[in-house]
Amino acid sequence: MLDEARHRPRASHRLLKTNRIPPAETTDRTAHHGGQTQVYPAASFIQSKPRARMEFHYAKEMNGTVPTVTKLSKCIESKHSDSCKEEKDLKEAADSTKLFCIEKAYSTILSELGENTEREGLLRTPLRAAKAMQFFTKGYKETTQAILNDAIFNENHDEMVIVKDIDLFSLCEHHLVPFFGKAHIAYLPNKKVVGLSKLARIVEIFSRRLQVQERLTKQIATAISEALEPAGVAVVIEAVHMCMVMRGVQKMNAKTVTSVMLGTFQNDHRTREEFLSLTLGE
Amino acid sequence: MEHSKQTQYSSNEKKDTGDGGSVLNGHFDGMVKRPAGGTVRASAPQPLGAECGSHRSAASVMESWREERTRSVEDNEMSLPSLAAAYTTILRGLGEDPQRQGLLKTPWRAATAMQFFTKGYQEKIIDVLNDAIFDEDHDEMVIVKDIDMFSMCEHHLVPIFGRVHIGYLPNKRVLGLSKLARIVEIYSRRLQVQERLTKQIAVAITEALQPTGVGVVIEATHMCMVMRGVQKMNSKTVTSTMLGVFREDPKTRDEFLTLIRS
Repeated sequence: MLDEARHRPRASHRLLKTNRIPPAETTDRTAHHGGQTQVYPAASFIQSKPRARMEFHYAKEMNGTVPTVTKLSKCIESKHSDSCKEEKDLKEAADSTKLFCIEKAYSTILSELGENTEREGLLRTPLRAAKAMQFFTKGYKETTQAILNDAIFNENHDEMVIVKDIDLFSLCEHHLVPFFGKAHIAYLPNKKVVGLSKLARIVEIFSRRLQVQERLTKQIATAISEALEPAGVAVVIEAVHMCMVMRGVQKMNAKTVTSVMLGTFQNDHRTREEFLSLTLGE
Repeated sequence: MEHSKQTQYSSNEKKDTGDGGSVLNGHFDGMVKRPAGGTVRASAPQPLGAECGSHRSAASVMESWREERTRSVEDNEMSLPSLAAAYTTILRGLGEDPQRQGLLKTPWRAATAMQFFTKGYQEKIIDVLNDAIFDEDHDEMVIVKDIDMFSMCEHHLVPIFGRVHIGYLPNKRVLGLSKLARIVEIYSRRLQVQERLTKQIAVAITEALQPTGVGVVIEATHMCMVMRGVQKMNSKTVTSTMLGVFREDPKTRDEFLTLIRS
């Protein structure tokens, strides 16, 4: 039964091949904006600079605003020219304004919840909460290319490489409440291997955002696929969602498991079974 | 009479600049002169303890038993739009696009969720316990352990979760067992500090039953330590409050601690 399920065409697989946004997805997005047409800049950028293509492809998946990423990637490529420094200063000023806005929002939240914002324990809470929230969403500012550039090595190895039990913390985008768990990643190298901690860093980039577990899994798999062009990638995430545990249906022990299988992991059920038994089936 | 009590307490108290006297989270604890919830609705006539200046004496903690609610169900509905607006600001400030499909209703969901996480402000102990205190000729230890607890860190607004173990030695009066869990719920569903939470639970049970002794142990994981900051995944914080014979008699305390561990 697993085999039939696996042979259904996967959106992620399509993305791998075409490296463009499939028309269906774009329409889907615009349809949901109640009449407002949102044009995602990423679509037009993809045809421009080829080197930056990976970046902007990720941008579509980035579930955040694109322009920040564009500026950052320019900063990395340039040699710290004056315009780059100016941009950095502007960015820092913008960041502290944003922090202030978030801080004020948290003050409002505290008083609307019925708390006394002047009591000692809550005096600096808006600032702390704002900084904490910025930390929990720091993945928006990071790019895969920036962290992976140095750590891809040519190695004549084509057996499965697995990094499992990577602790993962993310924020549910629907309730702004944490979900956390473990990620297990495997890939079949095709002449290129990556530093092992970089797999964990990729998980960090995509998990430190407002996320949906399904999308998170796909983004991790796609990022590794794009960076290494391996024969196959598999990502499994099992997580506990506080929005289900602390509120709503309040089921303490429920776990959510999502997986994405690309390449050989998708086509060959024996490879997949080997991966699953090595990671999950102790 | 009130004033003489006040001077007695303030002379006994060491001046604490640390955690402050805010045992009554959700109320101003007497340290602030302006009326409670200046921006906010109707609510609470000040509880008795609040007038007595800053103190952490047992008396002010005991007052929590009689405290008024700071929030009502109507308040919840009225504050929902401004909470949602605040969350929209936060989303924008973080660089997200609040108009994208996954985030369209997030401000409302997050606001409702946060109100749920702080629903302890809407509840009073006295409402929960009134019917379930029974006269029973039982004076052996009663323990309810492994009560799942979820709270919010008042410093970072990030969840705390763990388990609470409660034991008490009845003095002719016993409490419905689920009411112990309900007391935990009332105090944990607030912006809390684990130390204060432990004490509030212990004091509430003491006030309700006047038992010979009460012991409360909480072990919890703080997401503010796990997800950010020092990022220690496996760390747990354990706090305990022992009142009455649990504090005075080491053997009783040992029995309680052994039974909750087994």
